[in-house]
Amino acid sequence: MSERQPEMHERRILGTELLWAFGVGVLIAATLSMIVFTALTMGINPPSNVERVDPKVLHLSGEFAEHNLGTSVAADGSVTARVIATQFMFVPRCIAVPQGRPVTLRFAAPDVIHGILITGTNVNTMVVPGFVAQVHTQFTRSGDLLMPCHEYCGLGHSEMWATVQVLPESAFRPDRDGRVSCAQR
Amino acid sequence: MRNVERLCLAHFWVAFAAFLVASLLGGWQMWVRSPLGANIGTPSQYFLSVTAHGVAMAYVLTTFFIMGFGYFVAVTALARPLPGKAWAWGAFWLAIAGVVMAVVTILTGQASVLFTFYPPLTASPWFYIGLVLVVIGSWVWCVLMLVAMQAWKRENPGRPVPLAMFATVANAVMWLWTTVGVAVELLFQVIPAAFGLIQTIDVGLARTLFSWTLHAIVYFWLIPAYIAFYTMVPRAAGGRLYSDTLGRLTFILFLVYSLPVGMHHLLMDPEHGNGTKFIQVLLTAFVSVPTLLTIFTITASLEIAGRLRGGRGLFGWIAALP
Repeated sequence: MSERQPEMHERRILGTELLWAFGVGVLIAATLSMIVFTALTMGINPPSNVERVDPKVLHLSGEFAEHNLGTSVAADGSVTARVIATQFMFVPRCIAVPQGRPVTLRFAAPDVIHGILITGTNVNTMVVPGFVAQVHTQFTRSGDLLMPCHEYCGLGHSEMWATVQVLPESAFRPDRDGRVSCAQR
Repeated sequence: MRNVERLCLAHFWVAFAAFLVASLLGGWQMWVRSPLGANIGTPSQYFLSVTAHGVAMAYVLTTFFIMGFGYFVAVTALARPLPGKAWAWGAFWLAIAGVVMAVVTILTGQASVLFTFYPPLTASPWFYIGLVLVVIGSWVWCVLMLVAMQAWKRENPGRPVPLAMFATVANAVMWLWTTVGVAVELLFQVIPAAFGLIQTIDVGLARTLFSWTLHAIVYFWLIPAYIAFYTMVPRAAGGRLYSDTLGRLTFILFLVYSLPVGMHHLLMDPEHGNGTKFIQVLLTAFVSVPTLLTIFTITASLEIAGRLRGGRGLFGWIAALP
């Protein structure tokens, strides 16, 4: 009897541990299922386009040259805003976007690492020199939103932000070239 | 033994001095960023302070405390003298020299790049070299932990290594692996750039290499805390550890899942695709397993202690704990 007792103890300990491990497995499986479910049904994905761009010549030609920055509406009606993040400002400082329509935001940096988020939305990406950071989103409410730089980029980091002006459809009027700027206030 | 006590205490003094300085800096930073302290201090003072705070907390406190704790575990759990004591002191002074280099460059305003470096921002090369010396000191410690365990195993064939030392060696192996990322980033990208030897840096690669190390720093100090939970807490409460085997499994899982864990800091980065990010989300979710197993084992160990102290009923044992 005295020899069997420790063995039974070991069994009981193993039993309780396996039960707990099963619970842990269920918990993690449930959490991961939720992540996969939201990614598939609500299109919640991280910005991961992996698109290289040469940061040394951004300003010379191509889509991040000065005259291409800001918001433009293509012939098929799709809206794209191109923004440069640089020490210690965004170009342009104000980005006009339509309310309730899909918008593509494209960011590039010529100097160091930056990051952006737009308050009150789930728009959030790092802006890494050498890559185009792209986010697809849809703004639900009109009004001015703050877009600060959220990754340390140097001593002027705290002064680096832009405004995202979400315009109702009636106020979002592209000019002849399909370009839209923020309303003057 | 006395000499080892001095060795441990020397490490702890440095660690807690760094903690004190970092706490004061942290308090100052909160104050100047709050409405109470508006317009006090300049951005260069603020980010100098943030850099000093981060370096003190992430590198100095962490590394020195863990090295001291590891030497303590090696002599108490194994009950034998520490091999390579001269190497241990050498590593201590090497790391001290590194800390001094980092502190001087930070205080003279030549290294306000935060503890995460953010290349292509560049600081004085001596800032990075100082931190490399701290890491090399910690590598000596890692090797000494492995040597101490091997020596004990030779003297005690067939016996399992005491749990505290088992976990300390798991931590040392984890650290040897995970510091390779930051070492490669500093030695091949950041330091050559800081000396002006190279003109450009692949920023995506630098971020990936740093992330390899970044989050695992947390596990570097979490594992000693867990060692205390597994070996000191049950004894202090007057009970015993519920299960030694599950403890060992927990530390093995910690080792395995802390190897890739830093990569989840790149989820919002444009240099990695969705597939990589999804795999990293899965791996990061699994790192909760050893923590959840620890909750069970430590709670069960404390219940044993509570019942031995006369606690009764479903929750009565909690009140009986010291």
